[in-house]
Order: sequence, then structure tokens, then C-alpha cells
Amino acid sequence: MLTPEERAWRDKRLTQIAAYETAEKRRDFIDDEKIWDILRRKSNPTRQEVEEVLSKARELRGLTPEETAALLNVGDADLWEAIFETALWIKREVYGNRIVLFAPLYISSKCVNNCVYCGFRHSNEAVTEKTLAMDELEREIKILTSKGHKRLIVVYGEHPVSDVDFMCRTIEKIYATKNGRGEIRRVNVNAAPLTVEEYRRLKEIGIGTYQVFQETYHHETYRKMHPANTLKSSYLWRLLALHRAQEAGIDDVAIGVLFGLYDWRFEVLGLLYHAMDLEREFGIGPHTISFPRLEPAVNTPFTTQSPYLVADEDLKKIIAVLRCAVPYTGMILTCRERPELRRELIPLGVSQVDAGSRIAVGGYAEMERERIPEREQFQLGDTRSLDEFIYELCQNGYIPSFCTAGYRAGRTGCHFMSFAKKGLVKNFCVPNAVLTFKEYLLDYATPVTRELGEQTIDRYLAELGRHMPQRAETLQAMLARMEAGERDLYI
Amino acid sequence: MTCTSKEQKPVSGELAGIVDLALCEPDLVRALRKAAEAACAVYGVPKIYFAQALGKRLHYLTGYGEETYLPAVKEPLDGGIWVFFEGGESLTAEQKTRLVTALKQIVAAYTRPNDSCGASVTAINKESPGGKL
Repeated sequence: MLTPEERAWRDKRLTQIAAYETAEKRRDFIDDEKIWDILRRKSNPTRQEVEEVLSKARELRGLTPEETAALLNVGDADLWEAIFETALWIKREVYGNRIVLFAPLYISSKCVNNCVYCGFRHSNEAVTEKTLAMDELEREIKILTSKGHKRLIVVYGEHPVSDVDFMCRTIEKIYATKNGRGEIRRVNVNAAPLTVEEYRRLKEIGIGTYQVFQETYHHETYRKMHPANTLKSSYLWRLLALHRAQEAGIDDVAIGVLFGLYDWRFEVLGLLYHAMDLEREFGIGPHTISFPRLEPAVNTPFTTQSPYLVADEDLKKIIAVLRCAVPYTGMILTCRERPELRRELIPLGVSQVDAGSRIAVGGYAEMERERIPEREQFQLGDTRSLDEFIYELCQNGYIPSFCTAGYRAGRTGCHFMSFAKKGLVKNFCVPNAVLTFKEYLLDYATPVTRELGEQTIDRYLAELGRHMPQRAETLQAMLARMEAGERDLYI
Repeated sequence: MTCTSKEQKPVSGELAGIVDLALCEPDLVRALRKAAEAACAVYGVPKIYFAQALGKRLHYLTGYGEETYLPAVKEPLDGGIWVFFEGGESLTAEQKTRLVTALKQIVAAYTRPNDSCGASVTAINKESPGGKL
């Protein structure tokens, strides 16, 4: 039950949302019937058609909904292998072989909403709600920075205790917290849709990316999952959340679907239409796309009973097709997935992952407890340490990256997109990955990871030296400065 | 070309021309872009761009030139705006200092209180994404 204060706050925002829906001139760009019609028309693509689509995908121009639907409906295992290979090729062409690492930080689990699939829904009495106090937040940050993290995604429930004032205060606190050489350099935000004015306030404090997942693009499913008279019940308010963010000047925005609520093929096209509409209006598509799957949560039976749960094999298809359809976007794979599956999913187009994660509010202070179900929104599949995960990335030929250079060097919004869309952003990403990885190896790595990591860097430098000797020389000089004690160097 | 809508600034030679050109633009972002374009041409710098400091974020505003993928040198202007020079080795230290001074004058011209021609820094009209970088 909501308290009278919570109800009053919710009702005030409901009134705001209703007024917004009346005044908003933008249209709902998701047409359920049209999406199903496309999926039906492309239900049996020929080999030639699929090969032509993949050939176009390799031009990095993205795909239309019809082309994307053709890939989604491929039945032939050989053709799926071709799609997977294309996705890997595109990811390497745009971002190189670096994988960006971040950590989630749940700051508040209190929420006035009552979403059917969510462990943090207000009626779930099996979950203990918690909001970090400032000293607790500082403790979490010091633990994260002591492991080597530089990038966070902070998560807030939709509740008066975690309103935009609180968000600003906590993000400023995170940026201000130093731990020797350790610091958080980029804070991305996952929170509820806001008004344009509220977004403007967040913009002023210097966030990285603002992330709002539609959860499901299917209108009827959305209605069933988000009960009436809750803040999340307005489809349009949420669908246009990132349009409002862009309107406020936040030009790095991130979209996602909670796969498992509805048909996965439909949802992939929903994501594509969302990306297309952001591009149409602002010329800037999503900075990242996320594809979390529904995971079990305490006292939340829907999470295991949904008729649309996505199989591992289908998740691979989702990732690969999204990479082909939206080649410039960052693609985020989280610790929801098990280690053995993450190993298989990363080569399908993933560019960002979290590691060493804890998702209970205050969970990093109890690092040894891998799972704290009574304080978690869902259950994590991969609870390995950051260092273990980095070792594995190196074994598999990737360069781990803690890079935050782009957003501190003016490569944001349309500027970032101008590189990413041409497949040129790797020219920044990979050298900056090497520089930040070196910082990790010097300050945080275990001896075995350091040894393997140095070999990884040496291999990259040798390769770069063969093709771009001037750039290799510049990078080597910067690495030497880091060996001598400098930090936070970037291109 | 001389713009009469803004007062002239104490820079000389090619820099005066750059400032004049920039001051004819209707807002700060377009003025900075025009200045970047002119400065790239005059000094042979591959790329010059501008960003606004928002906490740790340097938020892209506008720029001109071809990307080099080499480290950029950044210099503060005023109002939280920074200029980035990429491949700026062709600039002597003196030229860079004078160029930064000229850019500061452009920023000041558009951010003076009660200047009806200028834009406030907090209400910058950002470049359309389709513009050449």
C-alpha cells in the first residue's frame, strides 16, 4: 500500500502526464498492426534475399524494418551463421575489438509503480525497500573505484525519495568522491521518464547517457504489465521519454526492451522504429541499445511463467540482428546472463558489458554475498569479479576498456554519431581502451591478469605499428607517461 | 566583410577578419562554427571544435574540419566553453594565444548581459546534426 504522501506525489505526476499527453504534438510511432504485417510478409525469406540484406548490412547503413524482419524470420542454420558472422564483422568495423566495462549501481529501490514483472513493485512485500544515504553511497563508490571501475549506470526507482533533486545530488556526490587515484568519470542514468525541465537539470550536472527502456513496444502487453493509475501506465509518456530528453539537450540516450514480455521479433522491430524516430527528429539515434531478458525475481511469479520467455538461441539472434540493423549503436549485455552464455553472446555484436556487479541497493558493501534476493529487482546470472572477467576477455582476444574519453572530449551526440555512423569511432575507442586498460593493469589488476593484459596491449601495439606507425608512436609515448605515474590520459 | 551589429574587437590582421565574420552570425554556436572554419583555413589546422563544460561532461557544440584521430589540445574560453585544436602543430604558441583571445572575444560578444544579438551560454542553439564537422 502506498502511503498518503506517496499517493499524493504519484497523483500530482499523473496529472502532469495527462496534461502532457493532451499537449504533445508528436505521434505514437509504433503501429502494432504494421509491425505484424511486416513480420508476416517477410515470414519466409529466400536465401538470396537474406544474402542481399547481409551485404547491405556490411555497408553500415543500417536496415529497414522489412530487411530486419527478413533476418528475424530466417530458419536455415547456415544462414544464421552468416548473420552472426556479419554482426561480428560490423561490431569490429565500428568499434574495433574493445569491450567497454561498467558497473550498475542501484541507489533506490522504492517505487510507486506496480509492474507485474518487477521485484521492486510497491506491492511486493518480499522485497525490502532501500534508498542509499549519502554516506552509504560514498561507501559503495569507494568499493567500486577500489576495483578499478570508472563508469557507472545508476538506477533509481520512481518515487518521491528519488526525485530529480535526489538524482542530481547523488550524481554530484558520485563525481565528487575520490579514492586515491580512483574516481568515477562517467555516470549514466537509468530512471523513469522525466519532464523537459527535469531533464535540463540533469543535463547541467553532466550525465553520460540517459536510459529509458520501453519494456515492451506492444500496446496491449504494455497495458497489461503496467496497471492503470500507475505512473508507468502511460505508453506515450514513456515512448517519447527520450525525445523529451533530446529536446532538453541530453543528446546521448539509450533504449531497450525487457525481452520476455512479448514476442521477441515484434520487440526487435519496435526498437528499430524507436531508433528511426529519434534519428528522424534529432539526427541522433540511440547511443546504446539494451536487451535484458526477464529473470526470476523474488515473489514475482510472472518472471518464470510468461509465455514469451526468450530462449538462449533466440537471444543470440536478437543481438546479431540488432547489430546488423543499427550498426552505429553501442550494444549492452549485462550480468543477467550466465558466464557461459555471455562468452557466446559477446562475439555477436556486443560492445559494452558490466562486470563484478551487485544489484541489491547497498550490495557492493556486502560483496561476498553474491545474491541478496530480498533486496534485488531480479537475480544475476554472472557474479564473477571484475578481474576474473577481464582475464577472460583478454583470453578471448578483446581489449577491456574503461574509456570515458568521448564524453569528456566533446565527442557527444551528433559529433559521436558522425564517427560511429561511418565506422570510424574505433580510431578513438581502441587507443583509449588501451590507455584505460593500462591504468587498470597498473593500479588494480591481479598479477596473472596484469601479465596477460600486458601481452594483449603489446599485440595491439605491434599491429598498430604495422599499419599506422605515427599513431602507434603517439600511443606508446602516452603509455610510457602512465608507467611514469601519470593517469587519465586519452585521445 | 564588416559586421556593424557588434562592436569591433582589438585584434588585428587575419584574426580581425575571423572575428568580423563570426560576429555576423545570429547566435553563438553559428559564430563559433564560422570562426572555426575561418581559422582552419587561415592556419592550416585540420580541425577545431567547441564544447560546453557540464560537470565532467564536455558537451559538443559545433566545429569544423577533418578528423585526425590524434590527441586534441583544449583551451578554456569563457562561460564554460572550451575549444579543441586537433592536429594544431601548425599553430605557433603565439598564434594559438592570439586565436584563443579572438575566440574569447566572440564568446563574450554573444554572452554579454542584455545583448540582443547574442545567445546566453545556457541557451545555446546547438548546431544541427547534419552540419559538416
